[in-house]
Amino acid sequence: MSNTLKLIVGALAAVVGAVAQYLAIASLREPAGAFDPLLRFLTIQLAAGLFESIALRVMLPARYREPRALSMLLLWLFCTFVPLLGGLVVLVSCAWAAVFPGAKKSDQLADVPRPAFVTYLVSRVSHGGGARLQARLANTQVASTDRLSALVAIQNMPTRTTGTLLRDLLADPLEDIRLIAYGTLDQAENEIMQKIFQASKALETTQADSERYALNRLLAEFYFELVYQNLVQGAVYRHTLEQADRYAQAALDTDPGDGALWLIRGRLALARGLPEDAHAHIGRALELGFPRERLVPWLAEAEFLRGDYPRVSELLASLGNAASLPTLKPVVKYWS
Amino acid sequence: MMKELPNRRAADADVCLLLEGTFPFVRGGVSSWVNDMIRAYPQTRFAIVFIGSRREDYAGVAYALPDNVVHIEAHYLYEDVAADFHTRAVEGDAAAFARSQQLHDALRDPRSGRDAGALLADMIPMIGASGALSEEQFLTSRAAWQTITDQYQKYCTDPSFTDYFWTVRIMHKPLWQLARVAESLLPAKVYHTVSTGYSGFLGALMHYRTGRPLLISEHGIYTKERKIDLLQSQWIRDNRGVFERDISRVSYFRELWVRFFEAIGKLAYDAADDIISLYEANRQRQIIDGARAERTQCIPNGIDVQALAPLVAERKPRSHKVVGLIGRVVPIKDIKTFIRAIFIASRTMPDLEGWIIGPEEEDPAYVLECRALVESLGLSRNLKFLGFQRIDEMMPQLDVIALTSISEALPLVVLEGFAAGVPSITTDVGSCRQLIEGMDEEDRALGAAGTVVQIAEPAAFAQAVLSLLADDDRWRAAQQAGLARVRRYYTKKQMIDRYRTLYERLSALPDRARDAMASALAAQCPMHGARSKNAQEAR
Repeated sequence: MSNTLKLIVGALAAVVGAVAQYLAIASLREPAGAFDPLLRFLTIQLAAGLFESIALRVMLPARYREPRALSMLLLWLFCTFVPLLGGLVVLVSCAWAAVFPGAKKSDQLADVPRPAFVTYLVSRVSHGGGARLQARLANTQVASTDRLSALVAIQNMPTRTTGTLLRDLLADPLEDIRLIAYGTLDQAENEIMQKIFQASKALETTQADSERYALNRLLAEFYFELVYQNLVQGAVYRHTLEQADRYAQAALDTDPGDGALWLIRGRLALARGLPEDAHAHIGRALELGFPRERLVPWLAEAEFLRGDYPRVSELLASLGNAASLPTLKPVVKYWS
Repeated sequence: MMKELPNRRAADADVCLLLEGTFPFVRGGVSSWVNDMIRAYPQTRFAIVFIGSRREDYAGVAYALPDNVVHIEAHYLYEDVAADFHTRAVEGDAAAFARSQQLHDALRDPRSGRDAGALLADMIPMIGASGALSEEQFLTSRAAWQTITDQYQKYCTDPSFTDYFWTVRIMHKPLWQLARVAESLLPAKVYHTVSTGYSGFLGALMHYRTGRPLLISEHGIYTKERKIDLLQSQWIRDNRGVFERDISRVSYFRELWVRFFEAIGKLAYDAADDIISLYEANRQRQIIDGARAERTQCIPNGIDVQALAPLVAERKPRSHKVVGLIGRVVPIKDIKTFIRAIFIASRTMPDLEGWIIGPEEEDPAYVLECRALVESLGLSRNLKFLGFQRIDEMMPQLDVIALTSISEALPLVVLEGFAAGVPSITTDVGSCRQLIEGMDEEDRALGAAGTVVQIAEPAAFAQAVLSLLADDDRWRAAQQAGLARVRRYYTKKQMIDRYRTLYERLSALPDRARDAMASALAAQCPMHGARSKNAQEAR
């Protein structure tokens, strides 16, 4: 129904309602005839209430018009049983409510605590070796299709976390498992080896010192990545550490002020079992302004390997709340 | 220099070899085996059907064709070929698509009791150019669209219908091309495929079309190799959102491709009269993949032991030891593990040399990676890439044959090494353990002809090399064990005799007329039995 039509209907209903209301009150003054005067009044008043309620409903704000049947019933009751004033009371109440809305309270809403990062769970979940997948893979009694699915699932996880599991699977009795485990490790290694190959070729041809520095730094990082991701073993592992250190050293010869590269050299020295060198390299990174919180754990490891345990305790205690890594927290707690 | 495919055409042949991605275009173990087989039966007239991916993927014919190859044709499944029909909307035969769905259901659930082979035999007339399941019908009919959308709604767990639609179309496309090849292929007494896959499917079509026997000889297991490729491939899409994805489940399209190759493998096994594998573990795998056990048997590869025997005497004492890896420089041979093993072993035995003997054309990028690895390990002095060389010139110069492959069947190079008096160190793949240590009590009594180590373990491989080369008595014992084993179990004569018997038996089988075969198959299949009965009643 259009607005104009509504207004016309409302106006007509108001006129008819006013006339009916007048007739209802006037009927009370009439002498009693064939009809009971109260019954006559009530009959006319019912009709007047109906028309008044139609007229008033048009005037109500939209949100009070629904549900239609109930709002009509309420208006009709008011208009019928409180002659003249009932409708006006409703109208004024609605206007009052629209102008001064009350504070809304709902029992459907409740306070919840602020979300917090659950660090204790992080230390228990081994990413890539997620307990379920790892169990399925390790158990040779599980159906081969389930084990294959689990293996495909861990393909996209970081090799650093899945490397050990994948290496174990190279000896799996099922050939499909062996081959996919091999393929995953091989692909991860290939990606880094390709980058090493390209950077080495570029290093052979470049003359500029700045480029040589950048390429040496890149090569040190790539070789270190092979170690970090558990992709090299045994003698090749040791050779890779040496290569990484050689390129890091070459880069530092050009720019000795690269703190991050000194840290890499420190970590390489730790991996090679050279705590004195590690101590010196990490110390150098500290002097160059590398964030202390990130150096302290490695420095503590170097001190531990050197046998200076009070210094380990001192260093880790100095971390205090800065030890935000869940794996580091128990270590800090133990030593301090 | 590679050569063009010679033009040889014949009206018929004794044996039609169906070869996918191998002889005569690609060098390798299977190609050498095919070459040897053809030459071993000079009286038999062979036809060759080569099935490849795209013409440009092959550099030309790599083998001289023996004279008894009377017919050769090559077909490429992934070339851009314009459709030989005009695209127009057609209604399609819903009943025919329902029948194809029954075949799919039978392949989806082997326990359903439906005979997939019988269903395929029944459908062969329908997939021809004017059939109710022709390529045109599949690509343009409303019935095909309805079937695809129904299947998507029923089974697909990937949200992308677009990807599903195109995956189904691309997956099925080669099957019509193979059907066209089958329609025009020359008659032969025996169809012989050396793998399942597309050539196996063509073999099944030929078997059902002509009623002639199909022989399958598998070196590796095609379905398994495809599956491993597919499970690792990066091109298959997974459109599942974060909340839809159960990471422990393989994506639907990956699974669909795997099932496709399993299905066409199963159809080939169903059609085959005899299914040959090289060793027992592969025979068991074929049975798991749907081959009927009573049709399977093992025929190991054999080599010409007598021709290589003089090489044993040609060996001369040298100042340094040489470990040779004879094979193509490709990832499956895991050349990098060999390089690393030589690197580790050379730290203990500084004058040790590693020779990589094999063609380098197939995967130039991998060759570059291997050379870069040699360089980065500072191994240029100890490791040489010699390219393709004659075996008889190389063998007397080698002290150990190395095989670091991640997958093999029954590597001929190990047998050739044995016959030339060179022990082997191999990874534990295929039948290598059987070759080195023996297959049964009697064989094992001959002793170990080398060492078997786990794949991708350069340290273990290096240790095995060092311990074998440092102990002369052990090396000699291994040499004798290898010689004895190859002479007793792996001669070419044994292999040739067994295949001769097979060819003769299969060639002598009477033609099984297509109608007779279809009705025989229908008798095995309750659904077809019912259909035939209804058809008779209708008459």
